[in-house]
Amino acid sequence: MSQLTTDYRAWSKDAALVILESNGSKLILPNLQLIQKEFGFIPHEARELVAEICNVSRAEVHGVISYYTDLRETPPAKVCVKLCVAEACQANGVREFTKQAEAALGVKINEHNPNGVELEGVYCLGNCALGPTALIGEELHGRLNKDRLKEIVNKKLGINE
Amino acid sequence: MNSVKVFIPKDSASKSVGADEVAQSILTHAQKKSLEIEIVRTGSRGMLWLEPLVEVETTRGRVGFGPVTVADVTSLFESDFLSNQNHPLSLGLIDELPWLKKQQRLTFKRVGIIDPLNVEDYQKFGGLAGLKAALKLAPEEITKTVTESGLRGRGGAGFPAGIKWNTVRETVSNQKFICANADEGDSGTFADRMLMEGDPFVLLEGMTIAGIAVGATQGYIYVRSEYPDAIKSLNSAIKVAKDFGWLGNSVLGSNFQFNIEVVVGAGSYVCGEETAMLESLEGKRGMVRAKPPLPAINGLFGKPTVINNVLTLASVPVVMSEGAEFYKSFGVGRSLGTQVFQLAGNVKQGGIVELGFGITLKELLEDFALGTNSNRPIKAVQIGGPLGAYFPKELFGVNLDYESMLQHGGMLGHGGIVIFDDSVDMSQQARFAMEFCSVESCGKCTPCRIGSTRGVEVIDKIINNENKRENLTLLIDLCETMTDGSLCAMGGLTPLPVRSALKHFAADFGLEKEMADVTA
Repeated sequence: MSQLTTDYRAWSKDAALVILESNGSKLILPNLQLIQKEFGFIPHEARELVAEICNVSRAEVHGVISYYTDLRETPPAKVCVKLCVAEACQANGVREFTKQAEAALGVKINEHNPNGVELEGVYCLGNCALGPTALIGEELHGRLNKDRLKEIVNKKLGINE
Repeated sequence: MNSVKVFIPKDSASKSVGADEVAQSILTHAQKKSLEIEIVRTGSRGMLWLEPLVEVETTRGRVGFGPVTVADVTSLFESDFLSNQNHPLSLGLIDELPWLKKQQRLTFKRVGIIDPLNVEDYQKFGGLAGLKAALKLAPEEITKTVTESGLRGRGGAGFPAGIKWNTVRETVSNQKFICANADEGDSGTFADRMLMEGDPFVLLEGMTIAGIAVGATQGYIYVRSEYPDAIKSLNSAIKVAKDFGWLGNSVLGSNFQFNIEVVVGAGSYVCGEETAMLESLEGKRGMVRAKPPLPAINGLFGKPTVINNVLTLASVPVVMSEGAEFYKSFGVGRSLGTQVFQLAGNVKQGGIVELGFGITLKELLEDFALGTNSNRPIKAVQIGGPLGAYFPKELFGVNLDYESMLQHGGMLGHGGIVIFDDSVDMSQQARFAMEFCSVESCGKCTPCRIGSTRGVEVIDKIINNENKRENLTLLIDLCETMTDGSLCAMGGLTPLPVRSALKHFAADFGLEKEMADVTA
């Protein structure tokens, strides 16, 4: 169940309107989540749409987008690696592992690279006895080492070594 | 040979170390050998160092093998593991393993045992008995039972659940809500997740009972987005419960109506704070609300709302089916019932330990955790998540209950216990506590929003040897301001890990002399 960019539709205001109206929620966050689920991110144009549907100002919609770390205004990379960097994983050496992961994947933490890999540091994935751990797409991976991480990511990128 | 039942967890922690691949491989091997097996995907028993754990049903009970990798499957079949236990990975009868046998599992009694989405299995192992008992009682009798059981909020605050419920029950309103707080953001905690994946029905049952008790017809489960498997599990369970005639317009044929909806968070730690959660449920920025008004009187969309942690609600069915006396026969003092401890971090045997309150930290570390995974000595243990205190070896004798923890300058929180070995630099952990707060603060109150950023700076100065004494005084002062001046536990408790690190591990900051002067 990997979430690749190709899984998302190209942005279309009309399509978005149909989706949001059929869902019927007047709350800001669920509407934004729906848009992101469908299109992979929240395009600038979507703000106006959500503002209209929820009967709020664009500023309020922007406030919600900027508040939640999950919500993004740029398209996601092909493979998003959410690496847990919280205390339980720190106890399992994630400070050092982060450097190894950066080197293995060729990407800096909280950045993305031209190969389509994004590495994000997150706080806790609920896999606290099996760290280091990462959520890749919707798959959780535990007891990670740099080789296994690279193997999983390459598989998602369609690269066979 | 009759079809043999093989149990393999589908808990996301188990899957994170290959449970799906192992299940697939076992199935393929069995088919190749024309062996009739039935694979049942369960939750996890909570013995995470043994995952993926494979169990085989025998006439004596379930026997286990673990940790199993795909590479072990061939040899498992060669040793005829379906009827023999001579494989090196054999663990014998699972229920006889001391780690499980010593536990007092009430809330987690079905997790790892049943198919999480099979409502018949659920009933066979005591499910729905609590709801059926509640349906025979008047609402005030339900809240009375919950109050008498001594059940307190398992999210961390420890507020008596029955008293909260009674406030909502007595508040007159055309609409009331039940909200399950499943925004389990504390590092080192995963009990909510394992319960929602391994026995989602028990949460639904607890919420339904709450609904009947207070007169609410709608429940929401606010789950963090980091838990995709729990979200799927809950949504499937809700559908099954509807089809079964449990959720919907007539709860198990009664006149009560109750529905539950899953709401997914968007990556904000502070939304685990109850009022921020309400804002988020209303689709807004997760900004903390000032209290009063209490959510019990003025909660979701301004209506009276019960907000309880997943484990609180999931403990209600056993309270109702076995009675308040039974439940409070576990635990000590004013901390009654069982607590689901989670052993995490650098731990040899990590996982779920459910026991009555009052066990010592030392017992948990020695009898269950068995030390660190790195085989180095334990230096510090953080109890209660990112806002919990760090405990040094000298304090490992502390009893794990609400009152004892408070006395020792800590808090039990959600029962997460994170173990660090002697390679940890506690000044970095203190710095991280402030950094985490600065990233996750909702920004509503100044002590939390600004204080956390200043906290990182001051700790950095101390680490870098700049005016140590002055900066230590400043840091202690800042901690006081945050503790006393913050709106919620985020800013209010962030000083807890910082102060405990300073107090017990001053050497890591190069502050032995200065700390001695300050505390003198």
